[in-house]
Parts: sequence; structure tokens; C-alpha cells
Amino acid sequence: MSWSLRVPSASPEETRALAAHLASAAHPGDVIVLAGSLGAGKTTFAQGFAHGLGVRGPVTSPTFTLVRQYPCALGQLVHADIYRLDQLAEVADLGIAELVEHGVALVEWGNVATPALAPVTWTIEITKDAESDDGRTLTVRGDVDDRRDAVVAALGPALEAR
Amino acid sequence: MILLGIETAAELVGVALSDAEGPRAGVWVRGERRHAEALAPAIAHVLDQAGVSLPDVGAVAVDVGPGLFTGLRVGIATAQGLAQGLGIGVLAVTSVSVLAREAYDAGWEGPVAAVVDARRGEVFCARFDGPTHETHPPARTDPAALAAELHGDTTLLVVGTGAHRYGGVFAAEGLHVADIREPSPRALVTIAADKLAAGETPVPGAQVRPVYLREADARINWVQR
Repeated sequence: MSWSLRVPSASPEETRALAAHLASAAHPGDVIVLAGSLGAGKTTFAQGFAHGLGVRGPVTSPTFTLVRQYPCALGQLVHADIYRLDQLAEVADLGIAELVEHGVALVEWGNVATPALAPVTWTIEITKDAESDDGRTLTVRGDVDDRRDAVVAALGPALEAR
Repeated sequence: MILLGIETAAELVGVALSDAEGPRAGVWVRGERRHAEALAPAIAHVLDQAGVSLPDVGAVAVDVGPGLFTGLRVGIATAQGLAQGLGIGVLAVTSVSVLAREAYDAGWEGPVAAVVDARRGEVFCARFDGPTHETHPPARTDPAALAAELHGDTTLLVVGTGAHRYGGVFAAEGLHVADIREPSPRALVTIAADKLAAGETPVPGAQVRPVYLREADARINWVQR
């Protein structure tokens, strides 16, 4: 049964904090897709998520390197960005399925290439709010029931604060 | 001719040298996949221990898969670079043929199913009825469907990383699974030496391509970019 949760964020700092909370619900082997237009905050989310997994040092956009890997609490955090790719085969060639055997993958723009990434654990779509420059809505979607429970538990404090 | 074999198709980094008398030196490292970091030092070590200098190498043999995308790229790029720099050719060998060769070198006489873990619940499988006779070329498949298709064939030996990972699935169908997991550099150079002896000519490195066997390609439907 697929499910989705919507979480508002008022600022990049709040997006980072939400992402760090969500990271506590991630398991080794998870492939997490980040969707949203340019400037929506996908890399900001990735920075918070990485922080939540104990990654030290700066997390920068992998747009030009395609994939960056960081040691983290779950093994390796694999941060990928497929913005520059045109073919599904190029996405498959990144070898995400191999890389996440010992870690977790965050794939920016991955929503356009899910056949090459499946199974995807969560898709996180970040949309800009119309009324404020910094306001965002994060929508977390998944297909596995008990992972929804884990997301709710991880985001619990943030959800209750609203 | 001295052959340098490079094996990175699975969770193992392997290097071997062979000469007219057969395999002469080799090293393999299994574990954390660090192909890029481990391969060049392994080559230097094997050459050093065998007392061979790089210009003495007459051809490079490399495992072209199917297997790990990242490992294949490291191995093939290294083989291409060495071949280009030394002005020599490359012999491409498939992972499944290396796995089958190991079974036959160990004395197996029946057919072999070489099964390589393809990740995401899938495997690559090729079948052989002799060390150089592939009856079914490598294809991507589901391990349970493959095991059901092979069901009860006790003349068959199942080998490879996929056979190991899904050992229970194959055993449940009455199949023999051997403890041959990753393709070995020794079997790789043995096959390459046989290819040379049979008259195969090493090709320029640029002609060597990995065997990925990924799903059908399609253009990404970019609406937002």
C-alpha cells in the first residue's frame, strides 16, 4: 500500500533538521529519491540527511561528479545527481544498486529515472510555497507500510510541533 | 608470451601472470570493494614477485563481465591504459567463462551453470557443457525462475556469486552448488592463454567493452530540467 506524508518547512535550517530526523529511519540498502525543481532545496535536504547519518565535513552538490560517497553511520552515504544524464542506461551505469549494499543512496532528480533505480524506498518531493521565499513543503512517499511508521516516528517531534 | 590478467568483475580484486608454462604468479583480495585502490598495487606486487617488468608483458587479459559495474570499469580502464601505454593488445574474457573454467579445472565433467549476482534480486546466468563450450549465453534472470528451470538436474554444477547468494534457492530445487564464488585471476589467465594458443589475436584496448546486460535503454523524459 503506498502512502505519503506532507511536512512543511519554513527555512533551509528546518529542512536540514527534518532531513536529519528522517535519516534516523533509513536502513542500509535504501535508495531515496529527491524530487523538486532547481533551487527547491534538494542539496540542502541532502546536507541535513548526511548530518543525521554522522557525515563529517561539507556535503556539496554532486551535479558535476554525478556521485559522491561519504562514510556514515550506515556505511557509505551515496549522494548522486542525475541532472546531467539523458539515458536510463547512464543512470543504471552509476551502479547505485551495488553502492547501496553497504550504505544508503540519495538520488537528486531520481524521480525521472525510477526504472533504473528501483526499488526506491522513499521519494521526497520538495515544493516551493507560493507565499514565502523560504517556505517549502516536503512530501515523503513510500510503498512499504512499516516504513511509513518509521518515518512518522522519526519526524514525530517535528510533526507535533506544528 | 607473458600475459597479465586483471579480475575485478566481482567482490574480489585479482591479478595473475602466466607464461608459456602456465600461471606463474597471482594475488587476490576479497572483502570491502575497493577495486580502484587495490588494483594497481596488486599489479605492481605480482610483477615484482614474479620478477617481471611491465614492458615484458605481451598482452593484458581482463574480465569484461557480466558483474559489478564499478569493478568492471576499474578493471577494463586499467587494462586499456596498460595496453595503450605498452603498445600491446587486450584479450576480453567473460566472468561466466572464468567461473565455468574453475569448475572444470577442479575436475567437474558435467554441465555448469555460472551464476553471477546482478543485485536487486536478479542474477546473470550462462551455461556450459565444457570449458570452452557455452550452450546458453549470459542473460539476466530471476534466481527462483532459473532454479525452477534447472530443477532436479543432478548432472549440473551451479557456481558463482549468484549461486552463493541464492544457494538455498538452488538447493531447494535439488541442484548442486559448488563453493566457487568470485571468478579467479588464475582461471582468467588460463583461458586467455588458451585463446592465444587457439589463434585469437589481442585487440586494441579501445575495442574492449564491458558486458553490463542491463535492462533496455530509454531516453529520460525530462519535463522539469
